Amino acid sequence: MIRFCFERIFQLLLVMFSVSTFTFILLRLSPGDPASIILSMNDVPVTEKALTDLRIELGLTESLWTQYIQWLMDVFTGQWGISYVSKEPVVDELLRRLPATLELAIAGLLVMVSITFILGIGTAIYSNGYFDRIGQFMALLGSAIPSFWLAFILIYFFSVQFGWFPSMGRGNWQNLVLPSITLGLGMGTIYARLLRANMLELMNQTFVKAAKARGISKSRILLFQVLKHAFLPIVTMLGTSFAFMLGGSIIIESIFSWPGLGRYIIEAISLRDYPVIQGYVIFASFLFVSIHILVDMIYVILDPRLRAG
Amino acid sequence: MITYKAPLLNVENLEISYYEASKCSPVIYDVSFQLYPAEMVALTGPSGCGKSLTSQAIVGLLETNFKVTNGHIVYKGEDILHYDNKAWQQLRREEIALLIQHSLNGLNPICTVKKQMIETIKQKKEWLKKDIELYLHNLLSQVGFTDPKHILSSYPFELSGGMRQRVLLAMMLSLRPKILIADEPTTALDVINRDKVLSLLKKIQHEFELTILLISHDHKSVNRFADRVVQMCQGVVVT
Amino acid sequence: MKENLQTNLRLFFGIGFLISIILIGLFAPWISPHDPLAINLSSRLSPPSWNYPFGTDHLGRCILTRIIYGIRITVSASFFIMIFTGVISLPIGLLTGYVRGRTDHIFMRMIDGTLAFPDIVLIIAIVGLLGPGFFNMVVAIIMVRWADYVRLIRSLVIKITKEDYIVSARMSGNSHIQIMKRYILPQILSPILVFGALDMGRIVLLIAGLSFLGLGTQPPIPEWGVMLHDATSYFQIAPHVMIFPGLAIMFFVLSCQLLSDRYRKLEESI
Repeated sequence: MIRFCFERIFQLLLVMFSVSTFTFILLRLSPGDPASIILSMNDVPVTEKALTDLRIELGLTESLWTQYIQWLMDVFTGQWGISYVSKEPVVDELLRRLPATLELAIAGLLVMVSITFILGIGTAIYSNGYFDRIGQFMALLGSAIPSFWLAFILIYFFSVQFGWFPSMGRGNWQNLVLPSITLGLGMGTIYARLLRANMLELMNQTFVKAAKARGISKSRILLFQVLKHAFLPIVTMLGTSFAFMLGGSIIIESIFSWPGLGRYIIEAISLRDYPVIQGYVIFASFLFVSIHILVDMIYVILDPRLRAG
Repeated sequence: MITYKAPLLNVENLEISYYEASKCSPVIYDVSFQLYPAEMVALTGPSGCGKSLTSQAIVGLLETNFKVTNGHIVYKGEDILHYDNKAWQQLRREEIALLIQHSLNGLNPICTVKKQMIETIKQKKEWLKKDIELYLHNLLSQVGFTDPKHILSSYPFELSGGMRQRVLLAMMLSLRPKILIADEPTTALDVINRDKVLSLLKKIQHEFELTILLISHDHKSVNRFADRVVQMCQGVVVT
Repeated sequence: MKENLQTNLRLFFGIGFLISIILIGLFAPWISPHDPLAINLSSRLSPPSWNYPFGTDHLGRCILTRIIYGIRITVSASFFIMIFTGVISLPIGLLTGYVRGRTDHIFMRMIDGTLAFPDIVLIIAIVGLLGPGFFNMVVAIIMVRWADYVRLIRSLVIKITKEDYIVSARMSGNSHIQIMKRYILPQILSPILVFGALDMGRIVLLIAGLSFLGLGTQPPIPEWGVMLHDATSYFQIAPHVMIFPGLAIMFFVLSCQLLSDRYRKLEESI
């Protein structure tokens, strides 16, 4: 277990290193000049002198190699620069918006998991019936509907027409309803199909036959013996889908004016706030790799076969 | 050995067919045999002659494409072919236990033995906690385990194939059935273990006053243990 | 047999649907009722009518026309991205899958790293660093999507090279290049096509999503995502401005999915 942890931490550092290098290269390739952006944002007239002064201050006159080493040191010591717009440290800005995004992602995940369970188990029990057809149809739609369009439809009906839920901002649980449904619905219907297929495949296993021969009923076998098996591969996907939730939340947050990381990055991109964009990329990679490590751990805990090996 | 008592289980002219699309072709034509109380009958025949199908039909666990199309299975004077799912479940819980083919893989690999055994016996009645422990320990030592406590807390993948089979056997016995059908219990085992399993079945037959239907394609080793042999070939009983 | 025919028929419909969409896009100037950029402020946000079958947007432009012209942008962009990604990843996949060894190891690390992120996040990050715009969006999508293709091709190649007939072909004096051309390429082509068809739907969703966020195609270009972006402020009073572009995206993605699904089933049944 200790070796496992060390391996994963090494992996995390490796990904962080690659991502930092990657952002460094991309930023040098991009056409914008940081110095002129900062000057114009501060309403300072863009003169040659002001530009050179600022460039020296930002270290842009150093060789690329020195800049790269400096950048790496900054990344790993947590000094991710200062936002051009708010003049506050990027780390603080990002951390302040993290809870909102996590809240939305967890709510979306809850919606997804409950849809997966209800639809997946239901369609497995009544496989090839009407309910199954509905599930199949929903999964097809779920992967084809653009999430932002679904958001519009939900807002139009439940917020504009019926006035049940607010369509903007973050506050109490009612604000969370529409964004989390938008986030979780599509994935939920797709995973429900996977859960169903897994469960039906497992019903042919020998241990299921043996359980039937002991007089254990079909629904009991499905719920208590098969479900845990079928859910194991889904747990891995749960990590991926939590990452997906965080990714999908970029669009959803922009639509519902949710004050999280996603909306912040879009704003930063449109304002060319480069330190924030860089910081976001590194922060996101840290977040995603940590999630994957966490999922691996959960997997080991759930499956006793892995624990022994 | 001739018994004059009434048969416990009577299979009469059993016909089982295989359905595919709209076609239906019989695979077992005319199988008849009787089981009398407290005897051990061997059902032998070459692979693929329908032994397993017959055993599955007796406990109502035929695969979805197979169906009983003719004949009767009479248990304690009742034709069990008319049973609905609930009655079949009841029958499997109380009366006839089937030790399935490939019984080495018959345990759920990610649940402990204890959990699975408790799930099985709880179907019949509510148990006190200390009674359960004692009951399970007894059962496991009766099937030849010297350290039942350790077995109970193990996961199936930590046990050897033969051990898993015996655990499953103990599980079936925990339901106190009248008839035990053992479907090819020896095939996946080596020669030494084969005789061990058969002697174990014999011992258990006496201890639990069981009627055993032993299904095997290997009639040589089975003949030494069984009281009577019924031979099948290509879907019919030949002797 | 009967099912096979039905699958065939659906595949036929799937292809027919896609081809007709492409044809409509090609002949957009002759088919569409209006000019996609013509602003008519006197009839802004008017609901569907005979003159404007899908209604008009906030500048009085015909939505049907804009959707038809949108086919040109979206479909050709996604097609281009798919082809280009395929061209990049085919040699890499063949190489890593056939030669294995250290190159394979390095590429696999890169791919695992890329796939650890949801693609939308990486793409947005790249677009953010390079600056928003249609070209940068296309570059970003290719930079992210290649990983999935290489992984698929690599695993297909590995599976095939393990077969006995490859070994015997090698024994009978075929060079590596010949083996790839004669035995491996023809076999991996159809699964790649199935994947490509499915991926085309995914790419359309990505393009629309990025344009919706204002990172891809920029207004006033008629593109489905841009149209939804424009609709943001008006759909509450005039829902038709968002319904039709959304339906267009959904139908296109659905037909891509149907196509790949049916094609796979047909493959399996043969």
